[in-house]
Amino acid sequence: MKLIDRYIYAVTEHLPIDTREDVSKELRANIEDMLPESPNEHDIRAVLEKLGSPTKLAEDFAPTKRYLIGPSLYASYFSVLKLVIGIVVIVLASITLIDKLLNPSDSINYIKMSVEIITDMIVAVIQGATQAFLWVTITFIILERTGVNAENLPFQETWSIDNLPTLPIPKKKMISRVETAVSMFFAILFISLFYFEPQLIGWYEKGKDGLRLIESFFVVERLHFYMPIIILLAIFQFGIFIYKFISRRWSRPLAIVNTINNIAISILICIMASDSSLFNNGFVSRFSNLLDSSISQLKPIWNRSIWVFVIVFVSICIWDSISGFIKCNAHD
Amino acid sequence: MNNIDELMNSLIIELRRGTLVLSVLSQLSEPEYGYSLVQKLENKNSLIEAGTLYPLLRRLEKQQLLVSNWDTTESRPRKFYVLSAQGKEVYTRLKGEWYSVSKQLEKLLMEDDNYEID
Repeated sequence: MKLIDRYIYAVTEHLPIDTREDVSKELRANIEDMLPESPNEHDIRAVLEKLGSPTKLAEDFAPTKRYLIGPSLYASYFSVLKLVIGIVVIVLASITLIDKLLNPSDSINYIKMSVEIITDMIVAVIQGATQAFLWVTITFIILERTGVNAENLPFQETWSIDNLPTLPIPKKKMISRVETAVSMFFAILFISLFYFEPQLIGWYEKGKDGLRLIESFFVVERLHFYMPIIILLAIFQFGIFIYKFISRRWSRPLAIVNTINNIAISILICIMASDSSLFNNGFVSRFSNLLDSSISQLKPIWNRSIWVFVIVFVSICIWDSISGFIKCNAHD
Repeated sequence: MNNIDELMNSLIIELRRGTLVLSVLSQLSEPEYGYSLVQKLENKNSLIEAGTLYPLLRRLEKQQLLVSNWDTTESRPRKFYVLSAQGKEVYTRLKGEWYSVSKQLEKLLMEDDNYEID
């Protein structure tokens, strides 16, 4: 009987919990049915061998895919992974380097300083590469689970001759991989800067030992409050990038998702722009010193410039959304 | 030679796989449990591995072609499967499909045989 228990366990251990018990019960009943009255070990072995490899049986019993990323997405997965990790490594290494050069530690020992810089760069690169690996993989797992692959784009209507992709892809519809890679590069740069070293965005003055950071633009503590939503949007944005990278052409669903993303970003920017506690007053006063005017005089100008920035930003988002739709309807 | 045998084996498995569902559906107008179905099919010279049949029954149930019931009145509890209304319809239609496919194929193969005789 021990053998039967072990066999059933081997079949069912990887099945979803809700079916496991029922499958074991049924399998046990079937095995017992196949055995003669008062079986000996030899009979049991014969029956189990007849049923075959438990791994194979488990695969047949399993209701879902037993792999994370299937063959149809495998090639794209690797090219995207290499691209993203490559970008992340370059961006994080440079940001860390810049940060260290602008805020040198007090030690005058150059060897010690270089070792410190290199260690920090390696740590940042490893952290970033791990994150990139994680998120790219998760994105592809989601694509796999939702049945997206290079030939079968999501939300597509049933196949018809008219829906066959035109060859060559109309130039206006095409999304160049270089363009996507460049956008990814800037998005990663921006997010890494925001996430790891937001204080680097700020007011610099030339001191006796090179550029010195005087005032940060953001109040870093306040910025952290927005971080979860920024990260969430960044992940969403990355899903879009990866999708663009695979499909390489505009389509209606892509244009819709792109619009949703742009709306979300615009809303976030508006909220952040109206949050006066987000901006460092020290930074503003530097400006007023430079312009030789008082803070109270500068404040309205300051607010206006922030809103000009917001309007420009939102306009770009709107244009980007509209152009997505135009491109997906484009024919050469 | 060995190579041909191997290839034949995999081709036969592929050929049979398509008929599996139809054979199973054909025997389930009355409730059967796993092993009784294996025996029933074996008696009719339709060989199907138990290890293939058991998962298949569950899959057909999930596709709502079969309904199952645990019978606990006997000394050993057994899970009985029987065609659902949907299963009956699918079976009838699949059977019709099979007849037309086998007729077409027969015609093709006969043509070939005649050609060889010529």
